[in-house]
Amino acid sequence: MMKKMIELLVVDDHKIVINGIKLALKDQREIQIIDYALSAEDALKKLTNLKPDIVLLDIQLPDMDGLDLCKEIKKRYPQVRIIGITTFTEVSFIAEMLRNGADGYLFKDTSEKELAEAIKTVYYGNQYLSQEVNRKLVDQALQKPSRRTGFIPKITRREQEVLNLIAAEHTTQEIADQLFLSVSTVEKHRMNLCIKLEARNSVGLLKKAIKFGLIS
Amino acid sequence: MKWFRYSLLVFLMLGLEGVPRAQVNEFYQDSLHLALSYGAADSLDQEALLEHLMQGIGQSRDLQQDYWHARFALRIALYYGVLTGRPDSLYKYSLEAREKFRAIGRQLEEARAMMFLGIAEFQLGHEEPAMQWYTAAGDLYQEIGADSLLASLYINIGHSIKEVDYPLYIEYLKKANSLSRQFNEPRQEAITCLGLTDVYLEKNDPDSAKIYIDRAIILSRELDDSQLLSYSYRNLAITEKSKNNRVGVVQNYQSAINSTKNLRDKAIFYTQLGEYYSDIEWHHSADSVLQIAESLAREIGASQLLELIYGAWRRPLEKSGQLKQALAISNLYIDLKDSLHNENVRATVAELTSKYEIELKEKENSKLLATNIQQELDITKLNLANRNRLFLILILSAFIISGWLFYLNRQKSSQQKLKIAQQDAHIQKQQLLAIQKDQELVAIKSIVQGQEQERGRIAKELHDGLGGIFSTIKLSLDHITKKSERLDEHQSIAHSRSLVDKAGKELRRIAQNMMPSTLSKFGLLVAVEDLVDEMNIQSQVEVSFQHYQVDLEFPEDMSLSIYRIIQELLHNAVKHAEATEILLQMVQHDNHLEIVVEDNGKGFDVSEPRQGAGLLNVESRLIYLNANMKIESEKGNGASISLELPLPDTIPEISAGQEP
Repeated sequence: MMKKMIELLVVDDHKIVINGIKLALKDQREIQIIDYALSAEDALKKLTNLKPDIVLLDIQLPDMDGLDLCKEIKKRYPQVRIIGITTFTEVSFIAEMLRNGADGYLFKDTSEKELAEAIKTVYYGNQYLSQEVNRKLVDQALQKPSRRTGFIPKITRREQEVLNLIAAEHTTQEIADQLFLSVSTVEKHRMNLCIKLEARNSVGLLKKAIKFGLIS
Repeated sequence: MKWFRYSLLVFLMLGLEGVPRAQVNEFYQDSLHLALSYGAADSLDQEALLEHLMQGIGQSRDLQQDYWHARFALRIALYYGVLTGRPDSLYKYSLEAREKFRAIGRQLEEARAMMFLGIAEFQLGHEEPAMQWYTAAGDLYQEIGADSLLASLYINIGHSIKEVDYPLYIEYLKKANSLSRQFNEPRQEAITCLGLTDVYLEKNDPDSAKIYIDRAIILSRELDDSQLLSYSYRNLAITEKSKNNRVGVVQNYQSAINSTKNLRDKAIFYTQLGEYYSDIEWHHSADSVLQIAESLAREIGASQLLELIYGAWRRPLEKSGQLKQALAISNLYIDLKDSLHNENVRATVAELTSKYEIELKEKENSKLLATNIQQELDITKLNLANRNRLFLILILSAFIISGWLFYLNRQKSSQQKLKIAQQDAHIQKQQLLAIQKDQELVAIKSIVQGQEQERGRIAKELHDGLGGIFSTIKLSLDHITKKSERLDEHQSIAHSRSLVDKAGKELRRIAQNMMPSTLSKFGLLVAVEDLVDEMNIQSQVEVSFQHYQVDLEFPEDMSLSIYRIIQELLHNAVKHAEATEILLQMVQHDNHLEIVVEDNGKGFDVSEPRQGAGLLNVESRLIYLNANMKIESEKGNGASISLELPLPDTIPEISAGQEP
């Protein structure tokens, strides 16, 4: 008995990209491109008749956003698997695509090997993120302290100066005189400090400042 | 003629029920609220009127006083129909009144309610049922021998069909006119006379119009009704206008003005007289009349009327050589109208501005002024190279005006005059500056928008089109590698592949720089986060981005401009200041957004002029956003740049604003 082929629908508004993908998958005996679509509308129309296993989906389409199309396809045909294959490398696009139900995400400068691997991985029910996608996600996760926990507010040099003088119990007028600023500017800095450190008055401000190690 | 129609309707409302106002006291015994509502109607305090009526209908419902219930319903119907233009409510309450009157056998009132039903149906656009109600009302009137009331019915039918069938309207108006004369209903006769005057004036038949006006004047004198009398005089003025009798026009407008007690009407008559003066090129008279109209309109807060007045006032001012005032009035006019959508007025302002500037220049003969300018120029030249164009224009106009002020100083000796002149000049300066800033803004706005559109288009092409091709080349190189058996070929293909790879990445970077694709999709914060992430990955610098309370959805052009400024400032910090750490923060306050970019780079002397297209770009965008930028820096000590930009709903509209 012949093994079932993995059937693909490629959605991209550039014919040349589709040809490139065709070429790259030419030697993959278990993968077959059954059709392609040059627009979102075209894709949705073809999906009413075809039952591909996987849709290779570009993000930038002439009539509809690939992100939205991804959601739409998943809603109508939950069994169809989707791999985003785009030139968008920003994390926010990757995240949105995955939130919208994509099973994989590749950049268009993928290699032949990676493409085939992605298709097979997703076909067998796993998620596939290309190496570069993975690196991006990890990079971002590592460098960004979470806003919810352990968030340490940073303050500007001026704000630090104002804070130090508040801690030394100077009045607004004195601070203004010392820093050669107007009283209103000092007030502005003070207000910013309160917003950043989530304090409601000078006492709270100093408490939080000590907590965050902004003053000793 | 709106106001005329409006007052006519108010008359109808007071007159139609056929209740003389003297009887108010009698009603008072029956129902406190009804009396109050009459009082409220007189002062046209609409809310109070409705409140009383609602209380009245509620009470009579509770006490099951059908007659009063019906009367209140009819009143409320009138309120909705006449004062607020709500035909649905008019219909509802008229129907309620009609049922009640019918039930208790009050045929006269029933007929009146049916007439209102007809009016309501007409206003709702149901012509056939409307005519049916009218006919039924008319039949009932005739049946009970109340022929005298047919006049009011005909007036109403006429008004309903006026827009649809003008000849029929005239017919009904004439019928109503002769009926009210026959049954001695002077008020209705006067109203119909005025209506017929309008008809004949529109037909360009001033002689026939004159006959009805004369009658209307006699009637309104008999009735001692100042409003009707003033309308009669106004119509007489219009009649004289078509006969080209200038003295007659002016005299009758004066009579109309003198006879009315209604400030609004008075202002309207003054405005019309002013328009007439302007038409016949008596600009000084027009000016003084419109001045009175303006102060009256201001007093009663009639902004629509003010718009009319300002619209009419510009020409006489301009023609009588008072260019400065003409400019001021034009600005007020623009303020009242939606300035962005009125290119015509804008053009006039531009024209007036240039005329005024020419006038100023003609006055520059004084030697003192010349030296004054020379001095200013010398100073300006020093800075010239480093200032942008806007700044130059502002300086130039400022010293032209200060020169003019100087000239004025010499001319007017007394202190008082000097002070007034200074104030004038100050206001004028503000206005000129505002206009120039405005024009600059429009120019900057279109340049910025054009630029962004083009960038967006190119970025998309690069990103998707060319990017896709590069990817395809890479895939086909992969394919060739696999097919090829020779190792040396493998190496050179691998080299090509890595070059294509690099080219693709570079291309994406350029496209991303040109137009951040995340911005329109995910908003400003995400786009800036992506930008910062990318910088942290790509370069040695450590950028931290923090935002506080930023929860606004900015309009796209605004977020794009903010993004560009941030992009440029970060870029400068890395490239020019060689910073290794940058703090970028956004704080949203009640009415503004604060953005701070602080770096630990080599800093610079703030007093020294800085150059570069980047900063110029930032500055034009700051103007675009109406934002302020403050730079603090010292050599060797980093820099801190803070921006303050007004939030969308507090950004003043692009117009020649009055505030400095």
